[in-house]
Amino acid sequence: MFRNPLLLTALSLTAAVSVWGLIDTQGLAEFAAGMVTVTLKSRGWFVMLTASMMLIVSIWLALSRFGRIKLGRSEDEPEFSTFSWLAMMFAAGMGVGLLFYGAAEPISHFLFLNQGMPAQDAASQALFLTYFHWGLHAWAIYGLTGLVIAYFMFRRQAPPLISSPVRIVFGDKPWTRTIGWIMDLLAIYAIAIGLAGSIALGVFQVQDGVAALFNIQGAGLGLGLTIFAVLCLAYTLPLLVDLSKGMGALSNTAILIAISLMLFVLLVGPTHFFMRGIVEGFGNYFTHVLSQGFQTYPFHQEAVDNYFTDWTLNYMLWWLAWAPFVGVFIARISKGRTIREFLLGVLLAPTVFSIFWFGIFGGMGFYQGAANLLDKTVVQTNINSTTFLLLETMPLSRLTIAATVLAAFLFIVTSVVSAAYVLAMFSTGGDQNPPVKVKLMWGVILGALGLVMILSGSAEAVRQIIALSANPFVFIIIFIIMCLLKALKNERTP
Amino acid sequence: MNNLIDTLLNVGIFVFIGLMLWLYFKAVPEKNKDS
Repeated sequence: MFRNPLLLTALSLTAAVSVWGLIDTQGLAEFAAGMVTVTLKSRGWFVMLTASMMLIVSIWLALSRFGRIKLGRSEDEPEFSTFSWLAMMFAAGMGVGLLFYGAAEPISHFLFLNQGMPAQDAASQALFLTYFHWGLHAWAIYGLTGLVIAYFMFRRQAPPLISSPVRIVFGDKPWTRTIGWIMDLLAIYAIAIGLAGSIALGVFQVQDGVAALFNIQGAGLGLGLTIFAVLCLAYTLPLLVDLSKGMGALSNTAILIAISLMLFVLLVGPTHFFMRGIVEGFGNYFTHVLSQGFQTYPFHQEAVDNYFTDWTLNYMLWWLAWAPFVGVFIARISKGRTIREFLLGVLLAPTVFSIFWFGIFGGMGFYQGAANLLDKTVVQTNINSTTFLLLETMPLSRLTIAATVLAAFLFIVTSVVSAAYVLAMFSTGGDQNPPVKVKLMWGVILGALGLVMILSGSAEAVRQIIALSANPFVFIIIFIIMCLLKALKNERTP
Repeated sequence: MNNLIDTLLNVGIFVFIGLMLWLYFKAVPEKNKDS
C-alpha cells in the first residue's frame, strides 16, 4: 500500500489540509474565502458557460444517433429496476443537502430579492433560483461526468478512473500518464473535501434538530462534536465489513423518510397552495432555464454580483466537486442502459423531484407570508435551523423533526461509506475491491476533514472550502468530455 | 495587481480552450481507435 505514490500523495495532501484546518481553522476559512473570491470573479463566466454547455451537450447526445449506444455489450440488461436506479442516483447526488436547504434556500433568496421587488415577485423568483441551482444544470454536470466514466468502463473495459478516458483516447504515453496521474489526484482531493463538507453540513443539521427536539438553548460546539463522534462510530463498522447490500437499504430508508416527510407536509399543509406554486414553478423553470444558465449579472450592482457569486457560482462549483464521486456511482449502477435512457433519466427525474421538494418546503415558508414572520437573522446566520422552525409550525412537529434528524444522519453515513469506497478505488488504480485498510484510512481522513469543517463553525465557510477544491475540476471535466466526444466519432451506431 | 491576476487567469482559460480544440481535432493513432 505504501508503495503506491498516488495514494501516498493524496493522503498527504488531504491530511495536510486537515492539519492546517485543525491548527488554524479561521486562517484556512479566510484563505479559502479569499481565493474563491479572486478566482470566481475572474472565472465566473467560464463556470457558467461550462455548466450550460454541459446541459446542451447532454441534451444533444440524448437526442442524437449516439443516444442509441448501449453502455455495455449489446446483450447487457440493466441491473436495477428503473425506479430503484433513479432513487439511488438521487440519494447519492443530493442527499443531505435537500434536508439542509429545502426550506432555507428559497427563504434566503426571498429575503434578499424582497429588498428590491414586491413580495409576490420575490417569492416566485426565489423558487425559480432554487430550482435553477438544483435542477438540470446540476444533473447535467453529474450525468455527463457519469456518462464519460460509464462509457469507458463498460464499452472500452477501462478501470473506473477519471484518467481512463485520456489514456484510452490518446494512448499510453508519458504525457497521458502524467496528466492522468494529476487528474486522479485532483479527483481524490475534490471528493475528500466535498464529502467532508457534507459531513459538516449534516452535523450542523442534526445538531439543530436535536436542539429543537430537546429544547436545548444555545447548543454549540459540544453538541456538534458529540454528534460527530457518534457518526464516526456509525460509519466505521460498515467500512470494516462488506455491507454493500445493507448500505443500499440504509440509503433507501433515508430517501423513503425524505419522501414521506415531503408527502406529509404536502397533505397536512395547504395542498392547493403548494400545487399552485409547483405548477407555476414548472412553467417558470422550463421557460427560463436556458437563458438563466448564461446569466452572469455583469451590469448589476455589487450586492447582486456578490449574491450571484455566493450562491449560483458556489453551487455550480459544488456540483463539479461532487461530480467524480456521484459520476462513478451513477456509472456503476447504469450498466446496460442506452446513452439516451441514461441521460434523460439522470436529467429529468431528479429535476422534477427537486421542483416538488423545494416547491413544497419553500412554499411552506411563503404561505401566508410566513417568510416575513420568521426571524430574518436566524435564516441568514443559522440557515440549518430554518427547516426546523417551519416544521414546528405544523402538527406532529416532534415526529417530523425526529424523522428529519434520522434521515440526515442516514444520508451522511451512507455518503461517507460510499465515498471511502470510491476514494480507495481511485487511489489503488481502479481496484473494484480495494483493501479494507485503505478504505479505513480514507474513513479517518474524511472524519478529520469533516472535523475541521465543523470547527470552522459555519455553512458559509464549508461552502467556500468546497468551492476552492473544485476550482481545478472544471478543467478536468471538460477534458474528459472532449475525450468522450472524440471517442464517439469512431462509434458505429446501431 | 488584481487586474494582472484577472488577465492571467483568463488567458489561462483561453489557452485551455484552444488546447482542447486542438486535441479534439488532432488525429488519433490507429491502435487507439475502437469499435
